[in-house]
Amino acid sequence: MADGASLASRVPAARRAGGFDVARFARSAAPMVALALLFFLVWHLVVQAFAVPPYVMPSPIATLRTVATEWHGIAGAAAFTLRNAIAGLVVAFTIAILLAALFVTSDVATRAVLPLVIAIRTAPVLAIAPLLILMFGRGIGTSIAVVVIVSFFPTMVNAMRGFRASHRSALELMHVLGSSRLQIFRKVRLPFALPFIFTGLRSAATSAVLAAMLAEWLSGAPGLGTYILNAAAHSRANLLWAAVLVSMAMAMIMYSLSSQVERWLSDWRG
Amino acid sequence: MSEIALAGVSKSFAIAHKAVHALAEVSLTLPKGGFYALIGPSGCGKSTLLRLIADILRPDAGSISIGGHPPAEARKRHEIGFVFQDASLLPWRSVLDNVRLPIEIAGRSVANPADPMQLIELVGLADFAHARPSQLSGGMQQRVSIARALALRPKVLLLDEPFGALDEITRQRMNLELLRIWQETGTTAVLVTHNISEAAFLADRVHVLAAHPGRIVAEIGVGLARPRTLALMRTNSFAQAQNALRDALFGEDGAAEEEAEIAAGQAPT
Ligand SMILES: Nc1ncnc2c1ncn2[C@@H]1O[C@H](COP(=O)(O)OP(=O)(O)O)[C@@H](O)[C@H]1O
Ligand SMILES: [Mg+2]
Repeated sequence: MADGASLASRVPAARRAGGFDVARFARSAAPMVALALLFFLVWHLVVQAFAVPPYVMPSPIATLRTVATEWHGIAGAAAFTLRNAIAGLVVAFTIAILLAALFVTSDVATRAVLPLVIAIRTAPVLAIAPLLILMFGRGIGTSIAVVVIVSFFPTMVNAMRGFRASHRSALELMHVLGSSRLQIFRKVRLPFALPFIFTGLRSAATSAVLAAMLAEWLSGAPGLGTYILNAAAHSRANLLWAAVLVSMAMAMIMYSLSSQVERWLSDWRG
Repeated sequence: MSEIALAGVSKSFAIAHKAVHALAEVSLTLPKGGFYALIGPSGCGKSTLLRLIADILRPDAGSISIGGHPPAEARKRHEIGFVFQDASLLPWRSVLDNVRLPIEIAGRSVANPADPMQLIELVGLADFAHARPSQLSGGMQQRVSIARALALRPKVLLLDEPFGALDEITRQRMNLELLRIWQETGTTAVLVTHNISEAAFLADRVHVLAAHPGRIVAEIGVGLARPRTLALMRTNSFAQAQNALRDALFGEDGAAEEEAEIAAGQAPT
């Protein structure tokens, strides 16, 4: 944060159009663009070198062209999946923080609830899918439930580690000052835990897209997962790979979104 | 400005299933408004004693009172200021926000808290009010922590080796500052230290502790006039006060005693 401030003050005002630092954005986006180009290059070389037929995997150019021509169908499916992934992640994040807070403050609750949590986490989603569909329906409900089940665990484990990471003297200080439990949580435990929580959230964010598609494979809801399944069923490799490409882009979007939220919350903390 | 009284206070810890008697039967009275030092070798229970007074720990036996009330009451009424050995500032808060923390916590239950900005001036950090702790030196961080401890005008100020990690020159300057602040606020101050000259320079009375079990072995009044200045440290009476403390810590025949103990330890086999 201090870095950002000093950096901003060194950049001439003219280049900061309405608070948006063009130079800084370019610098942070450059590695991403370079990586994407490298990715397409490797893809292209693989297709060339092994003479991969288009019905197995089309070239990157052909795939990008398919994304453009089929944009209407892909975008609709992708938006559905992305929305479910984000909604599921928000719910997972909330549940993870609440459970972690409960577990670090109460041993009784830990003994009573933690085994249940682990059981839900380890039950194969395939096995409990019919139950989820029965409870949440074939639409957004089941998708969110699957994303939550798959992604709340890493966030919760990291949050627990984070809540325990507060410095002992900081906790003792709060005690001597006569703070309530809630104040200790809000002013010391949570801020100390934030970096840990976001380590968990970032890894959950990337798997959330996959989890949302997994839910569609189970429920048949009209998202990108179902789109991919249909393309495969009809041997439409061009559609399949176009959708895969879009799902990868979505995982990247989720990752940078969670990084952005981390930056906001870090400012709030200060 | 509250009196602190301990009567027959004991505290043990279980370390690897063995009881360690951190403090045994400690009784002492610290009249209000004074400056007191606790001195002794490391592990003799000084921190434990301070943490008992602050209600961070509960005694196994005996009783403690602050201004006639149990420590838990004094704590919940925000009457205790505590300075830890490490400054223990919240790294994401500015200096000003760290000093303001106790006021945020007390809310409206403390009628007239100190002005955080004035406290920061008092400890000489006015130019650093908006700096982060990581941008300050160890001595500056400890000054912030003192300012924070004073934010609610505490009736007792407890300091656990606050300057232990500082170099001699900084420590000397901090001691002078601490005396000035104590005189301005009139609070009852209890300082844990293992530095003889620091104890003699600051305190009205020094309680000397010994280990195994932790207990008070001597109380030594320091009759040096106030206000105390650096010039005082060159005087004979200051040297005498230090010698009295040294004798109490090591015993005039301390070396002989230690030899006897070693001999006794080896005898049975
Ligand atoms: N939280 C604790 N758990 C277990 N043992 C402790 C704890 N705090 C202190 N002790 C033990 O009590 C004794 C006194 O410790 P302490 O009060 O920290 O001494 P001092 O501050 O004089 O160095 C030591 O033997 C130490 O190991
Ligand atoms: Mg100690």
